[in-house]
Amino acid sequence: MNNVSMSVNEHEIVGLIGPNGAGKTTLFNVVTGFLKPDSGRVKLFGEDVTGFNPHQIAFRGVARCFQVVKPFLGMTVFETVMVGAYLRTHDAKTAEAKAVEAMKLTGIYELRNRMARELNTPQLKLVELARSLATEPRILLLDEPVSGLTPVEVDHMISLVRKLNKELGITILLVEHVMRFVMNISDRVIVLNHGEIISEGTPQEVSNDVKVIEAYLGTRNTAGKG
Amino acid sequence: MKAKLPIAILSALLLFLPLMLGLNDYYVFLTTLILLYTSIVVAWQLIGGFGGQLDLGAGAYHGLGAIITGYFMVYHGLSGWVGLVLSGLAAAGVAFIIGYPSFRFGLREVWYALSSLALVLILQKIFLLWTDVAGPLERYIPYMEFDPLFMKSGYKVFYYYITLALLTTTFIMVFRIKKGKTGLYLMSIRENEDAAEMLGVNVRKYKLLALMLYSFITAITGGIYTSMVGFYHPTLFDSWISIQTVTLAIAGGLGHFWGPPITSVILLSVQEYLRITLGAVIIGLHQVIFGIILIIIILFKPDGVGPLIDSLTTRLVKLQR
Repeated sequence: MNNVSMSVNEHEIVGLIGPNGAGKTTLFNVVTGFLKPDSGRVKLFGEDVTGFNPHQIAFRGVARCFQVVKPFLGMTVFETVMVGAYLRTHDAKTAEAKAVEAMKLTGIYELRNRMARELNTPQLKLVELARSLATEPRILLLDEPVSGLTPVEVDHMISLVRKLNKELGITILLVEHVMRFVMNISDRVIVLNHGEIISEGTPQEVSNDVKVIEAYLGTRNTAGKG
Repeated sequence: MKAKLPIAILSALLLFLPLMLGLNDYYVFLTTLILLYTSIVVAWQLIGGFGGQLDLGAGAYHGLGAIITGYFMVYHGLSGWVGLVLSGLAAAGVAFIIGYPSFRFGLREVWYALSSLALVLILQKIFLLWTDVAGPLERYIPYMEFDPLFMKSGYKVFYYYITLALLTTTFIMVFRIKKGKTGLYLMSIRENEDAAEMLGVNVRKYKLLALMLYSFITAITGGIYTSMVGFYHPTLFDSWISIQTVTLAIAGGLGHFWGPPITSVILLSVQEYLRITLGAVIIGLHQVIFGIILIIIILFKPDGVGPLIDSLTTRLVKLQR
């Protein structure tokens, strides 16, 4: 990535879009400490966290759902969410209360005693969201939260993410290819292409930007099958 | 609690077992060995069963315990109890020195397994050459009829109870860890390191913690062993102990609570029985049969014996109703 400079304000929902290979997931990896940047800084709530480990980033209030779900297959849903809930406490009772709250919020409380390996992908995505919420994040990074979901499930996710933002005040940065989701939910949209920001603004502004259309479809002369 | 009755029976059985064996030194010696190796299997649950690291260093920590405890008993007249603590600390220290860079640079899976196995061989060579401490000759601990303060006794039943205490302590410790935050964190590391890390789990710290606790206990088993047999030698750095520990834990069910100890007690008893009855007929035959039994378990019960015990107990509970 080159000179990508972006900031996310508190309580905002920011959508990050761009063609495959644009560097969206790489950006997430840098922010959460899985990759160290060659140059540049990562700042969180005013603190420089460049080069921190993911668990330190998590403790500072960042949670992340992965593009390809990374479930704890050999554990139950409850145990999975408990891992997140233990971040800010050593007490089992307190952690349990947090886990139950997160599971109820995401609507997976009924699945709590099921093993993760028995669940399907949409359910696993909700489990991943629940375990992230149990860490009580201030900012939540969602990497393609609705890819592979049915339209009904997408609607459910839209209202869920809105609720997290409005009621819990969680700042949200999301990457998604499903435009209905991004355009519906984002306060602001940032478009990446080849590791650079090519457009930024409200969903309306961005979807009318010529450069964005070119990035997705190519220029008029070279446009092929789309 | 439904588990109370079986646990009471089991404890009574273990407490009075030497009496049932008529205090026969040979049989008590064999049962002590079985409990000693079972302790290693239970401790290995921490790093292997919960933490998911295929550690093959048990032979190294066992050997360290044997040599350090033996060395202080022979050359410094230090009580074996002090030796046990010292060797436990030394093993945990070695575990830290090995574990820190391994986990820091993300050594995983077979690469971690091989490097931990290498530790066994390297330490054996070091102590073969280090003649001030061990060397190629066996070093004998002075024989004593009965000196509990020095931790030396001619009666094997003495070691039986020390081992039983160690096994019980280890068992309770592992049980408490499994039920708490540390156990859950270790399991999340086993399932997916990246996801665990993103939920705030300090992966390196918890792996190191598990490795150090396990090596501490394994070293103590080595110390008890040396005092019991009365000598030490670098061949006690035995890679067979590493392999035996891992296979028994896997056959018992990775991370399962009752599976590994029950399986290891049964299979080690079978192994000893085969060794006594067949070991002299065709040398090595008992190990072949033991291997075949293990293969059968892994083939038909890849999750180990643990889940089998679970389904049996739930069936028993249903029958009672």
